[in-house]
Amino acid sequence: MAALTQFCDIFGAINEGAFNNLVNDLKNQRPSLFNYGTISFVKNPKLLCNNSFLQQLDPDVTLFQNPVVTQQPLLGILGYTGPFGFEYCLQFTELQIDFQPSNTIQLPAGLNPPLKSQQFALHAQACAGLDCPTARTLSQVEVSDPAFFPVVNSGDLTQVNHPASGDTTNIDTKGILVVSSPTIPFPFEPKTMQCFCLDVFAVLHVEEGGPTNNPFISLIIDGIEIPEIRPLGLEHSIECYVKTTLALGILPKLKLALNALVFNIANILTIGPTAVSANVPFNPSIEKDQIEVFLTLN
Amino acid sequence: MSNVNIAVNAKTLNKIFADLESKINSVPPLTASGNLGPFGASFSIGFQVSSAANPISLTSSGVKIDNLEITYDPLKLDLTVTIPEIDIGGECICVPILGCACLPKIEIFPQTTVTVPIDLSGIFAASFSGEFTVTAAKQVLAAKGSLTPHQANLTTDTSDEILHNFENIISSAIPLLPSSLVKDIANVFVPSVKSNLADKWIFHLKDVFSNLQLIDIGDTTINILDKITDALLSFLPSAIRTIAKAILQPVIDAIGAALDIGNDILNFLENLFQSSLGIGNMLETFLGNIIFQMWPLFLFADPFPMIQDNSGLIAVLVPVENVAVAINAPQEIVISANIL
Repeated sequence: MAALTQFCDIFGAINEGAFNNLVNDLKNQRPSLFNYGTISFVKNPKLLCNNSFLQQLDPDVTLFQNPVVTQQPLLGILGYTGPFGFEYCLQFTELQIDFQPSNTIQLPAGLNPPLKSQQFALHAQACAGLDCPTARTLSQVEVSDPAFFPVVNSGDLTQVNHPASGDTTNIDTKGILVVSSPTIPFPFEPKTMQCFCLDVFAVLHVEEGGPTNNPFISLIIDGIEIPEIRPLGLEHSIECYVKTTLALGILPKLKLALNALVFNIANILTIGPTAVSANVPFNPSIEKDQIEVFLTLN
Repeated sequence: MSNVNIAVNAKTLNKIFADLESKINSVPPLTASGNLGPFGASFSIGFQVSSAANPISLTSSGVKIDNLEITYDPLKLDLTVTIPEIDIGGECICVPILGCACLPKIEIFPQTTVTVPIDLSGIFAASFSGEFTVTAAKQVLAAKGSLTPHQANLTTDTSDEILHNFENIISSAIPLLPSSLVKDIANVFVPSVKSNLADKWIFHLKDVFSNLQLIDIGDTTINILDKITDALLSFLPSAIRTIAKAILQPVIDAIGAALDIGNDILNFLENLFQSSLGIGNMLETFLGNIIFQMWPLFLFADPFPMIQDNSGLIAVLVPVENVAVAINAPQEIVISANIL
């Protein structure tokens, strides 16, 4: 048997089965990373479109008062300047990983399958829901706010609501938009909750980053595809939104310390990633259905 | 089939082993004393380990430790004799009716204790070799009680459970040791294992075979020559002395190696250490068995905190089961496990 440490001092390999178990543990212990919603969903996660995960939720999440749902602001209503707003939720569920070579996730044609060298595939369902106010609710919501002169800082996206009387310091006379953040949700009506789920496929690769004394693995998106949405502009818009959410909101919180991938077994020593060379062309490396890390004593 | 594999090469094992050497070197010496009439003796004996480069190698049968040099340091013997007070005079002659007439009592020699210190620290050396297997076992502390995995992971172990376990290991193997020394020795190794109350997979070396050469004549001779060299060069400034010693060291080593043959005096001392003082068995038990039950080659928590967080969210803990160890000689130890 060829030595696993032929070109390093410590070698670690986690196959995709273990990685999928890790993703499952992550989903059960850090649900707020995958579930987003407005106040009613935060207070009662059973209202989410897909609440089946609650049965597998780690009891320590509740014990340590960790959130199940990351709270989002209410969705504003175009042209309406009153306090009411929509309640909505967005979830990523049924997450699954397939390390190169492709063998468990059937990638859509838009992602040019099969997986290329050093890539891995991610499949998830993105479920979203909007609680639609009933006709009765709408009739009860009186539009009482008078129109007012538009005020907004056009340069930095800062929201400006109703200016105080006589206060002109924040008024940008060039502004042409009215921005008003809703503060009160419509009364929640579970029966009028409109949900849908989309299959999301993504191709990613890993990169090593972080400080030299505590390097970690970052997950980088190479492409994303949500098939079967028409028109194409809608598909691309949703893909853009999901990709940006993953890239900026979720994946940066999934940094895996290189030392953790070898269970910190040499934590009394100073170790770092093995330099990339002809013998170790990628570090970390994704191949043979596993992720491999190569570490060297400093 | 395992879904996680971790390999650690022999170079890393040797680096980890250096941690054990430093721990052995901080084990407090054994001191004892006794009196028999006017005679008394006290001794203090401790060990300092200094291995050759890379003492650990991997063979198909396990982990091999070669030629671990153990210098007896300190090795001090204080012999005492208490000479009683010597007086003259004081005798009395008593005549009936007239009474007693006494001579004055004159102390010509007060009670005196004479101590003869014999300091042999750093002179005698033993050498240890052995072969070991690597075992993995899960440590579950009773102190964890009904804590959940995350609670156990966040709770510092303030119990004395590990200390008591170690004390039992030591005192059951070497019953003669005083309890205070047992505790002191245990305390040297407790920090290697004690942290939080999470369950832990702990990997130990388990002896298959060990050999202790109680007096390594070659190493002892080198130590003697070393001390003589120190004395001869003592007139030199320290920087120059260091250079001179470095130049002479190969010569000292060569003489030491050449003298690695039977020597009546050293054989006598070996018999003394072994038979009269029982140091041999004690040291072999200590090195071959006790310390490897207390000192972990590796350890990791189960469930293992794979993703940490500093914003108040709980760590993501992954259960680790079916842990096994194999040796891919001569390069590496391979740990396999399943993340559930």
